[in-house]
Amino acid sequence: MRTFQLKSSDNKIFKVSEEIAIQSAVIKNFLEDFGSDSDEIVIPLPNVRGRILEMMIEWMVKHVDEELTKEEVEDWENKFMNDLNMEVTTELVMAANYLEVIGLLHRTCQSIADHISGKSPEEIRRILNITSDFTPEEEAEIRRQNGWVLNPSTN
Amino acid sequence: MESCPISEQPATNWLDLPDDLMTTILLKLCAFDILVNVQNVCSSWRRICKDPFLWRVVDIHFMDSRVQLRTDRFAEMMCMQAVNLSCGQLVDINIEFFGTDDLLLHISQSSKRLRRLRIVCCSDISADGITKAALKFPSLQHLEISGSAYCLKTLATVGCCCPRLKTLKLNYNRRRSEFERDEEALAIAENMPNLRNLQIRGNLLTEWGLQAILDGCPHLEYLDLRWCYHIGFAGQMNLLCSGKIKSFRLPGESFDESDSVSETFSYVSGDSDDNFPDDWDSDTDYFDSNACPPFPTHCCSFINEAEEPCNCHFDSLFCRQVSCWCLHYKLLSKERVLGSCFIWKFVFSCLIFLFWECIWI
Repeated sequence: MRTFQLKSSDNKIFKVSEEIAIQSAVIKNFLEDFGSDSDEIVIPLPNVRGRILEMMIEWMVKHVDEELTKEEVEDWENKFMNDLNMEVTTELVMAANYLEVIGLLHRTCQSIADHISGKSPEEIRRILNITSDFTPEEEAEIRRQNGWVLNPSTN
Repeated sequence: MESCPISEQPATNWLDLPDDLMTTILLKLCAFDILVNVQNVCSSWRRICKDPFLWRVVDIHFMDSRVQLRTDRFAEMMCMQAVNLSCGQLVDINIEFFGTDDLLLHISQSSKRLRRLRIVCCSDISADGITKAALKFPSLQHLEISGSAYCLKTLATVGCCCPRLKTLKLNYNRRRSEFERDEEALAIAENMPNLRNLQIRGNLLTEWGLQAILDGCPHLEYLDLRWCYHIGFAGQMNLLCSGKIKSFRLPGESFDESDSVSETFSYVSGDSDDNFPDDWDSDTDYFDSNACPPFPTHCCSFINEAEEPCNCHFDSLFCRQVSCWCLHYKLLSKERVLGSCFIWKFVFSCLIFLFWECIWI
């Protein structure tokens, strides 16, 4: 089994086996295109911080472990996601999207969706630190729309 | 590998998320959340919320706790807006506990690509409304009308105007005391020869109607006849002996968890687009021929289920006898064939006899 080195944006080096690394479609394609028999390939990942890359590798290691049952992996996933705050989740989403780790991408997207679900626009803005930047036309459209949201019988 | 530098700061600006990533997140939210909350957060999110791709699958049910606090008119307005945002790309819509003929007409006029239509417990949608809408769904593959009105004309129109229809579900909780009626079964048999999956729970059909369906829909793979109490012993035996259907549910079978009125849909993957949403096939196992074992094993599981108290004495009697049928069904069918041969020979002999009598006279 070949091993590779993944280099994060803050120059941290992680050694991973091929089996683990190819869960990322991007790394898989990279190895197919530029791979050699050498074990010393260093793959630079300038978009991913060391801390985030470490978490991604932790995720990928768990998902190739054949000794774990499906339920055990699910339990581990739940615990993994519960321990994350929104900042880290968002960074993980972007990293999973960048490296195309599909399982992690969908799980983290679901986690963000669960955070947003059922919250008013004001609450979402406050939680995610977003400022409203609507143009006057858009404000008018929203007010008109809020008319049917609050009292649809008048429309 | 491509690289686009991002800041080293751990803090992420939400508005920097790529559009496709934001769309993936929004696809995991319900229509209510997007229409009422998310699209009013900021202008870039509002723009992403207007992406027709986001609205290819629309699932709105009035019993959703958040929608229920409002009126059914609100649910209808929300559905109307979702349909408008799809810009004709809508392929799958689920309407539960709300909706009018106007809404259905609006969907039919704007969504020519619709493949799956599910109408559940919509008391304000008339049979006529469904019939008129069906005229404009040439791509429809999956239709469910449960606890809502439909008529023979609806079935004829669907058969005529939706040639790609593969799955039909017509569920109605009728009283057992109602008279038996085969018209609906005959309309299905006559108009929908390409059906693969048929669910007609609580239908009033008899063994004659069942035979018509078996003859008229030769490609049928799954048949759900639960609550169809007018199908007698002979009809059920005929179904078992025919061996045509890969998987079936008989009238006395119990309901499992997935059988609630608002069950998640079961779509049989056919010739679907490559770029179809992932969650489209969310519950295919229910109809998967591997998941529903063929005849003998299925009968065994059926016997286990039947140990629960059955509603009908006749059905429980039937359940106990299934194991015997499993062993002897080939013999029985042979006897049936022999019996029918004998009758035909007799009739033929009589005709020849009469013919000779006439000549002599």
